[in-house]
Amino acid sequence: MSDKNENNNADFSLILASSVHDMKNSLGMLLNSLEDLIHESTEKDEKQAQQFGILQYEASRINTELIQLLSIYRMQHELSPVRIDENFPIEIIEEQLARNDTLFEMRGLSVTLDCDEDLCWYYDIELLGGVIHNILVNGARYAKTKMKVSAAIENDELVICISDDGNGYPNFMLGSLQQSYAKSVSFSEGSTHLGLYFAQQVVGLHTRNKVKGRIDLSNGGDLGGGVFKLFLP
Amino acid sequence: MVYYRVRIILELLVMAFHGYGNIKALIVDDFNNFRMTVGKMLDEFGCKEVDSAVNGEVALKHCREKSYDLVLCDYNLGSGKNGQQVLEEMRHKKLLNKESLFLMVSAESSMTIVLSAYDYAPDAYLTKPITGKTLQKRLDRLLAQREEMLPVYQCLNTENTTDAIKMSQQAIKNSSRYSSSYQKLLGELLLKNGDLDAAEAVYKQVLEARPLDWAQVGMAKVKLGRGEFETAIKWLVKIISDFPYCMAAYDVLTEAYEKSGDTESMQKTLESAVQVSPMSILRQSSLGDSAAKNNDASVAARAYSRSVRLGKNSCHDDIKNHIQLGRVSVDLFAEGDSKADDLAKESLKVLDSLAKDFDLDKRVQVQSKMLKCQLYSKRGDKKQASDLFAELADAMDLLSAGLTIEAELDWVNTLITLDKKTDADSFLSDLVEKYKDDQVALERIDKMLSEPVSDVNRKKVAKLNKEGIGYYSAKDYKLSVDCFTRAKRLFPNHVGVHLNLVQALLAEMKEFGCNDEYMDVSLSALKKVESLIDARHDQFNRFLQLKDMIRVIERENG
Repeated sequence: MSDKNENNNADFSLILASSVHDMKNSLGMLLNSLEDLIHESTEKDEKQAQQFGILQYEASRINTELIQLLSIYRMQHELSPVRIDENFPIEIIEEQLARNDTLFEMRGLSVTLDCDEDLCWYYDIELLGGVIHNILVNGARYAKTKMKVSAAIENDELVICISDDGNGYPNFMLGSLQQSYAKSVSFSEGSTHLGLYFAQQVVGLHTRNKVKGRIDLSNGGDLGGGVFKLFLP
Repeated sequence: MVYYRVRIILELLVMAFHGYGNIKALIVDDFNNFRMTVGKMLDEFGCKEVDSAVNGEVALKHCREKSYDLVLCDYNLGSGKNGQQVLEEMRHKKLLNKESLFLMVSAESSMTIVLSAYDYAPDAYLTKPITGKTLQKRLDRLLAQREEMLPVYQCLNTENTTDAIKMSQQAIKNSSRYSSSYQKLLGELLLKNGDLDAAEAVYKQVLEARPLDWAQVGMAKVKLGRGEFETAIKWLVKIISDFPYCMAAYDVLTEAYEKSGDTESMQKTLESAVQVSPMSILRQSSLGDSAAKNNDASVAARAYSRSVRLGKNSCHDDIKNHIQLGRVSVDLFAEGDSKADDLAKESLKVLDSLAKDFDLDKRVQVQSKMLKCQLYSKRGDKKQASDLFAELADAMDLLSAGLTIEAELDWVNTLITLDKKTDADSFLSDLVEKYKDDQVALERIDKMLSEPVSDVNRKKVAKLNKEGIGYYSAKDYKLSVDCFTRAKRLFPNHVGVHLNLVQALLAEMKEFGCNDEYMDVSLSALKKVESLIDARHDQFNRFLQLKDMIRVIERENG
């Protein structure tokens, strides 16, 4: 055992990670207070509702992004943290829908869920919860009035599909996400697609007989907008 | 912009729970705001009895007075115990029933993995911010499962394993929604009952669907239970490489190595386990013990040092870790450890505050003084060392009868450290005599005797040898064996004594028949001699002859 390298090797990613950690905690407090504020203010005119919606959406986006940064840091610097067990997809989806309930309400979105309550599958409940949350938050940004979440087994794989009635994903993002993360980073468009990268990493940690989990983006579907699909073997 | 106020979120409420009225809940957080918010949420769900606690101590007090169904506890509770230590103590002191749910609340989701590597795992993790809807979904789910499994848990509360097993088997047969949880529980109960075949069948069934880590560990436990150490070890090593956060695998692997007598691999496994779960006091302390046994003072000192630090606020704090830290720190100097001086300084501090942290009896006080005396001496503080030594010499006269073997060996080490070699040797040989019938004590003394031995001891062994040969010539082999056995205890590296012992044992077995215990002793004595000599040694031929004779007896008796 050695005691060296404890402080003197603090590289930039470590500094960033601990700073992100700190920011996340502050933001957690902020989100909590915001939630209280919305809860307590009885008179909700439309303008106020809209402002609350924006506040909450943006704060929750930052929060999600920070969590993803931390998770990715861990995936790259520490042991693979995946803990796969048998779970009910309906539970994880319902929980994430409940988590974003205020957001959907503020945006005036109706969300439907199609999932057999007895459906069970194997995955890391924490990591996958993070992915679904992040896709829901993203979807809520582009959806006009509707979103739909469905889960089912197809070809011996769990397929979770999150679709909306927005304008859909831009063409260059469509298809199976195979291209490297770097290609999809676009600072000029203000998008790092960190969420997608995170989703890809998490899904990729789910393997069975050497088959890896994967993600597919398309447009159309029942609602006519973006369709996010993840496949877990 | 038009806002659609019509919301059709499907309120499926699949596993909605309707029994909140009977749920007794406890909220633990140092922030008033959080306790209020969550309390209000639980009120809204229908909970009638909701208590709150501002810190761990208050929470534990509540739990001693009332049995809660649900505890929501924040991880970060300010200066005292943290949430994990609260959980640890509630479970360890059985303040929670088997069916009680403990939910850990933390500020970041990535903490989960860190937390789950502790000694005790909560039933679920919640990440702040908590919204009412999320909390309800989660509680609905957990409480519905708890309600279904309640009869089994109630059996477990009264240690009625038989019925718990039957109920779990029935539930799995009926394809309960919670089959997976029942299987996990059933496997553990069957293992506990020693029903290895049934446990194996349960795990096999799970593994047919998926190579889940817990079922693989269960399978390894079955193998371990059957004494198939090699297979168990092979599997566990593989599980750890696939699931580096599966702490149960490390724990079972440690046990497997311990049972197979591979103390070095046991230490290595504990070393990797504490790297994954550095906050686990029990694993740190086991690592200390394991390394100390292997004479690896560097690893032991660091592990004990962490155990002492983690012991603050923990119900698993143990005075043993504090004393051991002092003891192994002395050995660090002999190993030339670069941090020897720092750790010695730390140990002195720990020993100084021993009286503050624990109720000490006189003997432990003396023991602590011995260790301090050695540490001062090693650090070059001759003045402090000799002052303490003077105090000790007086105390030893009064106490010598009532000291434990551990303290007595500390005294030997103190004498050696202060260059009082003759006194050390004579005290040591007195100890060997005193504990001649105490194998455990003798094992500890043996370790000291591998040091170059004094004339006093040589004379003693010569005397015992002569006595033993006398009995042998008089064909009184049993007494002869006793003499050589005692001689071997005193002089564990003495070739002649070992060979004499084997010869006496051989004679005894020829006369009265083969005996497993004698055979084991003979074989291990021969093995020891083999490690000590080669063909040039003047007793080598005698060794070969005795070895052949033992082999003949071994063959004759299968």
